[in-house]
Amino acid sequence: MSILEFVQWLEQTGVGVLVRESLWVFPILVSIHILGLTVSVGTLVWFDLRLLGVGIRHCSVSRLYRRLMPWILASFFVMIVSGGMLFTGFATLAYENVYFRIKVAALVVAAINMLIYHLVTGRRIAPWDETRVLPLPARMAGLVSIIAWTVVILTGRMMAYTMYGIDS
Amino acid sequence: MPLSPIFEWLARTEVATAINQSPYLMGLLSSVHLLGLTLIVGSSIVSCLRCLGLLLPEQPLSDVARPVGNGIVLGLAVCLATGFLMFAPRATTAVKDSAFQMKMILLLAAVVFHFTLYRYVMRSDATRPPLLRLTGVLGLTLWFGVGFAGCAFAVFD
Repeated sequence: MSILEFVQWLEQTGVGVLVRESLWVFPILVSIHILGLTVSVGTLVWFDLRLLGVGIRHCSVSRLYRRLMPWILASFFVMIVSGGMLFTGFATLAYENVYFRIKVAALVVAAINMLIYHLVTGRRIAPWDETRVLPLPARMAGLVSIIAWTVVILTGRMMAYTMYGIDS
Repeated sequence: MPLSPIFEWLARTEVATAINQSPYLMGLLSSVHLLGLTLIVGSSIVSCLRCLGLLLPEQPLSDVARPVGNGIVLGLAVCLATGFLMFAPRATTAVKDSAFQMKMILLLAAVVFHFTLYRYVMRSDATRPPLLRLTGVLGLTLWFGVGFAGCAFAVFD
């Protein structure tokens, strides 16, 4: 099955039809998706800023990570589920939209960046956990995360304005 | 309404018509507006959850509140600028929309709250728990209310 066939099949599923045809499901999902995004990315940015040596810098990196993560992950889950449902409803239009493709690429960058921090950089935290200026890999993790999520938000909004045809 | 000639004039300005005719310009403004909201909501969550004792309870309040308070003001500035530009082309219809009216009332309440109670509580590490809890609950309710009313206005308009 090609990707195009897959997205066309997705649209025909029960969830896809519901999202497209119900008067209430779409606006409610969009609101949940956007508010979930403001919570997860808005909270994550304070960890990214700490990696860059600004913001809540009197708190150790490991403690801030431990304390923020449950909130970030819970709201990420909300964002992914609502986003997945929205995608199912308009999968073909989204798949053909250039902003959606950039958004997916930025999401992949954000995910890889997070994994590298979690599995490699964050494992060697002891010498710099309490310091303000962090080693380059840690600072890069913060910077890449902020840039990637900014691109996700920008392209996510842009696709909403370009996906359904400029004339409509 | 005595202000309606102003809204009509605003909707006819060159800037407003340019924004109205370009989905790209509108999309860009909407994106930056959402970036600002993300900063406000994220900052508000971090500081209000700290007030409620649900986040970083071992960290002095001022360590969290000072940087995070700046995040709210910066996000607010971004949202006001981009929001005004998106409001201009549809000023006459927006002011009659109940979701928009609700958003503006909640926004006014949130801004007043931020520069009074919120500032007062965040300045000291010795605030008593009942007042801290009230600040946390009010902050989350008001800023989420603004965001939710904003979504309702955007998707139903």
